[in-house]
Amino acid sequence: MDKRIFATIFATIIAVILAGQILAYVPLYHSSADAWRNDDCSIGYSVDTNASSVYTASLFGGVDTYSIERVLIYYDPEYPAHHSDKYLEDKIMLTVSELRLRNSPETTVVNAEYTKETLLHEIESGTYRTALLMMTGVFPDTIYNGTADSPIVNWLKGGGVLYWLGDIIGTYVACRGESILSQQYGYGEVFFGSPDCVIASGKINYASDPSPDSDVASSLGISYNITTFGINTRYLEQYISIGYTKDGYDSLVLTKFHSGEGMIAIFGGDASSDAAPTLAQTVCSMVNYSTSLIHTERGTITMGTACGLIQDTGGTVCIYICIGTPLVTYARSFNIGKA
Amino acid sequence: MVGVLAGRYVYEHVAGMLARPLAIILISGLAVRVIVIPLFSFDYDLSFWVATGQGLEGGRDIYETSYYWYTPIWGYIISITTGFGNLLGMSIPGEMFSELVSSSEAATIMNTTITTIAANILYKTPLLIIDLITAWVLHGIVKHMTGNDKKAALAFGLWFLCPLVIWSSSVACMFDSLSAMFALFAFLFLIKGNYILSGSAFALAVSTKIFPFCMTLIILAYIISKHRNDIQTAIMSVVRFIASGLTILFAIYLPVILKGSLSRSFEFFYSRSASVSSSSFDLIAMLTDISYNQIIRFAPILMISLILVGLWMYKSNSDERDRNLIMATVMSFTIMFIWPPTPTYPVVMIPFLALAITICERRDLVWSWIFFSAIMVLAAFSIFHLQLLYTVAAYTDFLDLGSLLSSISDNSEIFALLETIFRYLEFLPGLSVVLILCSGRRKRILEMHIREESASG
Repeated sequence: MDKRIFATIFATIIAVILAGQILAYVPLYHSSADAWRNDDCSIGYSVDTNASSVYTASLFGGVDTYSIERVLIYYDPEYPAHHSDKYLEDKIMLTVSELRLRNSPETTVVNAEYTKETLLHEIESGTYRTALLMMTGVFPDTIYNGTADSPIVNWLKGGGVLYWLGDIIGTYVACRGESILSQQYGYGEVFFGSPDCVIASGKINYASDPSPDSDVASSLGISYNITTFGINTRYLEQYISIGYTKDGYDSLVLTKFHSGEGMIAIFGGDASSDAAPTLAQTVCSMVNYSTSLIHTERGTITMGTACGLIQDTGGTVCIYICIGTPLVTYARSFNIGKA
Repeated sequence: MVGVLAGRYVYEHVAGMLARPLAIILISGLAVRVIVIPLFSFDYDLSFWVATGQGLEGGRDIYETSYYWYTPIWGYIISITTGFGNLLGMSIPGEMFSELVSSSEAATIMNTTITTIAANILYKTPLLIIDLITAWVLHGIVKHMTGNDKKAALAFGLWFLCPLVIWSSSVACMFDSLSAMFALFAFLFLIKGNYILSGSAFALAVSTKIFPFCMTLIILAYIISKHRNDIQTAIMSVVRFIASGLTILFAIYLPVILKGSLSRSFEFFYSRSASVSSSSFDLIAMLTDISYNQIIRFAPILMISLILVGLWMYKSNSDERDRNLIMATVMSFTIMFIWPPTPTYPVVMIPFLALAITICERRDLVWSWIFFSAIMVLAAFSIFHLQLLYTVAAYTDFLDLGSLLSSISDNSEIFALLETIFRYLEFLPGLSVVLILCSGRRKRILEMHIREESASG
């Protein structure tokens, strides 16, 4: 047995591992996309990547309702929540990372006071450009006091966009420095103009029947089936449901605020690692309660560029380009105005 | 004429080579893997490797996607594998199938993704290479210690044809064999007296999968025992062993530490520890629903056993020291895997079992090898059962995914029953090692008495 041969092989294995280390920590991959409207009312797009991957280009109509310029994620360790700080920080960091690779609008993690100031500022100015992500399952008392005259409710009336997950919306309110959450009733009336049974009880539940708007979900690669805090769409007027449904409760619903211009997106589950990509995909694709899928197409790229052409009606549309399956490695949405 | 002669020479030469046991074993092992690797797969682990690779394509590191929570070594291999996949034009590593969304669990990448044939080949190929290197090192060690080609070929086969190894590397795509390979390198360099390389290999083995940690005491006992007449050399040898291990770990972990992902890289270990520490011992629960949380309650007994094995190792004389190191390693792993929570964990023990059978002449341990091979694979199969055919059903015309899912649903009670039965049968392989070693010891004591009596009488 020649010891040198084994030592050489061992050294080679270490060299391979260290090469892998470099590949893992030096960003080697880059992707980009572009989209435009041609004179003949068709939408052109191009996708470029130095990886080998699948891309999806989805054209959505009914997207001119909101113009989101920034995303705020609420998190304040001084306020109690359903999960530990470590857990929430972990999931929020993951969500930020998922949002960034989808070229989200400017994303910031904000505390209770800043959230209140932002909402009040938008209410005063009458311009609603912010999407608020509530992942803690509780509202801080700075924006919600259990009544319809709270900053969050007034903001939704005016046109704010709220993405909610983690518990029954409006049931728990957190006060600074206190460890116990105060429980509120009547959330159904405040947020949906309906009885409190509009949201499922919180018993862990999963659904397997696709919701009515599963075409939008499948074009986005969304597969979200938790209905623990799912919403009963029977009480809603304008909405799309892009998850799964069970016993009347849907796992992922985007609905117009019942007494105003805003939108609430209700996720039936918790802030978890698996929820983060779905949340980011929903936010960045800019889908809302009036979105409809016009066309979707898919292709493959091997370290190069792919181009495509989609015919449309000439109205305001959004084209959302995604690279990668089963995980998204890059995505970008393009709002394209009327021809 | 020359052509005919050349052809005959080549034919005879190749035929001669192929007739050798080693070539037959090698070809058989490769043939089985060539069939198994692309077609049989389940996505419990593989979908995570795919997702980790895609995270890298998205400009994130191995931990940022939250689909990887092991130590970084296998993650680094995934990054190279993903790079090769891109160069080879593999655009679809897997797809999510809505048919797999069920009302009994959350739809995650783990339970709704089916990897493609290309991804199965791509991510399992490094493990095939690792299996081959391990087999070759085993062959080299046995050849060196016995000088016997047949024994060396047998050791090669006991690893390369072991169904548990094939399952772990070529079906489950789990990297236990990587840890086994490093543990074997650590053993090889240790008996050769190269403590720097041995320490490095051992550190890599432990940081790939934690299980070889149970070898620590016996390795230290081996080094000290070997140099017990020169305490300074003994101390320096131990220092070299530990320092080289820490150095390689520092090099491997440097970017992980700098990026603040250190705690995540140990999540695999401490998430299980946390669940264990939060549970309480319950004999009834152990009898009705066995779990590692129950078995770990016997940790003090296991620790004492490991210390006793270490003491036995220390007392070895120079003639038996290397062989005793093999047996002590087998014993330590047996203590560790008396009931493995996951059937593939004992893969790391198989090379040492092969060494015990071939070098230490413990042929009766072949029974334990058979038990490990059969029971662990059947236990794993009872968990994943027909899911193994997902890739075939999703990407070929041989099977229909809907029909396959119906079959799984129809037979779910049978699979659940089999899983429960095999969870208890997982005690058998470890117990067989204990029984065989005990009976072997009694037999040897009896033989010694007979020899002594006949010599005196």
